[in-house]
Amino acid sequence: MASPERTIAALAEAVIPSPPDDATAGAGDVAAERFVLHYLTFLGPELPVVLAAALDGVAAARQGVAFEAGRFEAMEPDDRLHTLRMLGEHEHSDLRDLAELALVLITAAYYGEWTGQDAAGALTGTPVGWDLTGYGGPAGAVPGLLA
Amino acid sequence: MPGYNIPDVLVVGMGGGGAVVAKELAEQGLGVVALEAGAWLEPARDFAGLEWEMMGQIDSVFRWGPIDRTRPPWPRVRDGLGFAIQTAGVGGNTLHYGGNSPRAYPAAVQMNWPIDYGELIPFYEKVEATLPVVVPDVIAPKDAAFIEGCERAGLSHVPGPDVFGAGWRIQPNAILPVASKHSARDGCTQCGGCLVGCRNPDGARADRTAKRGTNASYAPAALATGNCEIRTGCFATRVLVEERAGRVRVRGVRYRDANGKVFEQDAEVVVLAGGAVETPRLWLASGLPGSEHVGRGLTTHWFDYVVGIFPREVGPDLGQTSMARADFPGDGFLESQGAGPLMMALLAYGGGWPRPSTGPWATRGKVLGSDLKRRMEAYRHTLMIVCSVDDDASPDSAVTLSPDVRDEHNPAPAIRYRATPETAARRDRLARRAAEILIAAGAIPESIHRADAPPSLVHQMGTMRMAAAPADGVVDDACEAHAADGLFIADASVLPNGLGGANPTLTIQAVATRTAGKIADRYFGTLQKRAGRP
Repeated sequence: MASPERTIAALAEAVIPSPPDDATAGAGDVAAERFVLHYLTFLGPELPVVLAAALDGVAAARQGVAFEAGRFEAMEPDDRLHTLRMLGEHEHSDLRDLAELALVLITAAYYGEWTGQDAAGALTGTPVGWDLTGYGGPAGAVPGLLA
Repeated sequence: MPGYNIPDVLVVGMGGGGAVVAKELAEQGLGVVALEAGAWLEPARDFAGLEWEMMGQIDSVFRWGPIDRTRPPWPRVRDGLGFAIQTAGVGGNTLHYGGNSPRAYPAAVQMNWPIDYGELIPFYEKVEATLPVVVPDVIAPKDAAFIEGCERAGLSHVPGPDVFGAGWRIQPNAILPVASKHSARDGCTQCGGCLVGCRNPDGARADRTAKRGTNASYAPAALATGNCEIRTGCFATRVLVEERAGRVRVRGVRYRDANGKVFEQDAEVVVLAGGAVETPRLWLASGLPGSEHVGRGLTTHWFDYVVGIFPREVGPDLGQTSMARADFPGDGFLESQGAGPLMMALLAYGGGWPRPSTGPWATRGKVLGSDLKRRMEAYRHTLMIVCSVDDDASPDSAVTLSPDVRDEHNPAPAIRYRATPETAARRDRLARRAAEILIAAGAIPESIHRADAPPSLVHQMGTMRMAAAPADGVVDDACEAHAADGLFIADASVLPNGLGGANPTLTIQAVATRTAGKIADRYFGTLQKRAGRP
């Protein structure tokens, strides 16, 4: 059953792939679509549906077939990225902006602090993106760089 | 003589420029009321040090939106722009800036301004002493790598602060001297958190946090005079004018508080300092007398980002955000740029869609999929260089009012940016130099990547330009409106160009200091001293 959540999850997984397509945890492993859906809805309750429909619509155009919900999700990851690019270069600026916003949110879900926070926003664990990049998080003083 | 509760001066916006005017005039004994759309944040309480929490722009602490973060941000209609950074709150964009405080390139001022560069120098010196601006004596590995690359690429050291030719130097930053290893209780702890809000050293008073945003410097100093009141959560919606002796004269400002209650505040002098987007927006929404220059000539320094991966760690998360720079007057500047992993991913690898190009970089544009993950796994080995271009002040780049979109205050700003071919050529030259510096510093040549970032609004300037004649600009050489007596502007919008490419905040503050003196001279007399607020 196609849904905006599944379409956005498929997009996130293409942008930051999980095993077996990649060696380390990806967007799917951290359910990045939840983060994306939260912020899209915050900005406009209709935006998740608009984004999913736009991705499905561009996917259909790319394949030369009729629009069908879920078409984007059924694509291979590389095709999803090509479809995202088509949306990102669309003649309508609102759609270009939406593609860019989705990319920012996916990146933020993975490389920001969200995956280390509890429901109240407290940092209770090491975010996955910090772990994979070696980032130590907010620091106090850095002894080796003091005078 | 102003009446009871009528301030001498009303300042709209307590960011990089407005706080300077407020402090300078309050110190002279004038009664100042300042309206600020956002809150006065408390670093120890509000600055979490987390990238999305602080900088996400949607419901983050630093954003352009209501104090109530459960409400959406205020809309901006963007045309030809990616992200647009504006910050509501005492401190404005200095809350999240890196503190980089170079002076403008002299040639840029000499060519296009109604005042001489030499006239600015004492005002630069005053701001540099007040903040203070410090050239740090302990630099971080990322910045040492940048300097090494500059020298190996053939650039000479330039001593500054007045820069006439190309060269590298240690970054002059509005950051307290680096703290002592024996007692890191005062000064900069090199934590790398400049962009997400300085809250160190741990336990410091709000006015002794290391980075000298105006939230920590000028605004507290204004309050300390006893002559300044700051009203937070207050958004100016109209500039009120009247006719006096056949001339348009400012009367005050109408504003809404955070609960939507509407007030009018009269004042002898009004100073607009909401920034290069909000000041023309307020002017236009107020129906103030027209000038073809209102809103026009927007410059942004159209940033690009070039990164390289080193065999050794360079620590992009440590040290002041930028501690070294290379100046190329006429083209712009390059600087080493620290960032947490999220900002690194977005800035370095979230640029334009890839397109063919030739240059000393291996890849260009957005990086997605496993390629992004492999690059980010090398985060601690990655040095990012910002390219800030001296972009042309084109009349096609402008702030107007949206006919379709509005917020609770006014029609939303419609922000259009168009780069000239000459701007694009300068930017390309800077990106090439950045790649050459990275390679010379020892970055792996196959790792050099150019973001090719779309234009964004970070260093927004120039929409209410200063010019001696009304036909050439919106404000005169004292930054008083040609079209309305008693109405001044003290923000980046008065800058007639992109300063040759230099970071704008110090120049905004120097000009604002000068403007404060002009306000006192023209409307209150230089020797006036008052005991307190009216």
